[in-house]
Amino acid sequence: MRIVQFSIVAGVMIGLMGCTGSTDPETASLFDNINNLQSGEYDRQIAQNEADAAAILANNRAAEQRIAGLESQRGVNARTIGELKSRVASARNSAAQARANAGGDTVKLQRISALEGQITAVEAEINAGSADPRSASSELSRIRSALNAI
Amino acid sequence: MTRLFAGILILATSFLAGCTEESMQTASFAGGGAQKTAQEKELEKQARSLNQVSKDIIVRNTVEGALIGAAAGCGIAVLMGGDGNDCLVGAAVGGVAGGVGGNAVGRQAAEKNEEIVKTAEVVKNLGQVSSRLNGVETNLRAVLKSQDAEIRSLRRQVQSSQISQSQYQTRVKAINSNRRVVSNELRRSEANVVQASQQLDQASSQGQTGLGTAKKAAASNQNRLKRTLATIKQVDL
Repeated sequence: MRIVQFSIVAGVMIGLMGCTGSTDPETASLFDNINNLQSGEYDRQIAQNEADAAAILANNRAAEQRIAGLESQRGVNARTIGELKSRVASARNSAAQARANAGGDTVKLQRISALEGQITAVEAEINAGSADPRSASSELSRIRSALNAI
Repeated sequence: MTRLFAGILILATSFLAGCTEESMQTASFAGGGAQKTAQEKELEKQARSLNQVSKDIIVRNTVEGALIGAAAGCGIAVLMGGDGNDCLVGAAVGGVAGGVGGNAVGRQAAEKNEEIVKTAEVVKNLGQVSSRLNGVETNLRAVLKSQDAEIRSLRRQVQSSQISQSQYQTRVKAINSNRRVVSNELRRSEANVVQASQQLDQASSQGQTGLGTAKKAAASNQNRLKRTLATIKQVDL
């Protein structure tokens, strides 16, 4: 009986020597496992995994709503829109000047009308907030160059 | 000798020509860059990074975990010189160590270890995919909107003869290349998430419990990737 008791104690001692205090189920030793089960550490880790997975679902739902919200927003800020509108006004002035200079030249007047139509199209996109500032700015520069060349 | 040099030159040229599609988009025309913009390049980088994270999704086969758990009970008997089947001794030691039954502890540890190890890494990686998708989606939306506006603008300029058809096509090719790169990365990410999802299903069918939320998270990421992919379309030349 004493031998059995001694063996039990020896076993416990050997087991405890192998105890690393690890809470990682992959590296936990024999007694770490017992300890982690008893302390509820493993239950806590399982609950944490559940919470992390739930957070993914929440993040994905929030992202969907955020993207839907962004769709209804204007892509360009007010200051940029103001600058582009000022460039549109300037292009319109150039068109008016070109029209005045064209006199009765129907070919030139047709060309000016086409360019004015292009200005209107750019302006509509700027007002709708769907214009790309870089592209709109570049397009307005080309329109002005074309008007100056008439 | 001249022929040899010519041969080497042709070969080298062929290899260089085979370089990635992206590197070919270097030409530009005045006023509007024909090559990819900084934002487009950043988007490609983000999409690649997302794919990299999605590749790391591993559903582990935790034989190791199960073995460690089982050892918590019955292994004690072995340590004490028992035959390994006699878990009563282990139970006794379990009682000494913490007032729990050895064999029951073994089973419990095995189950919990398996559940934790299998779920933890998958959830961690799915979380990274989800959070990186935030950046990709936001940037993608901005890039697509900007590209669409630019294409409308370029078409008007072609019509007014302010730029040539070839200049227009060069830029559209760069845009299509950008969209293709991003689509491919997203598609690969989606495939990786699908694979993880299938592995979770397999683990469930083998009796693994506690994977419900992880499976839902994988399905949610998969749907999100699918939705994001659906927003990318090639532009007609």
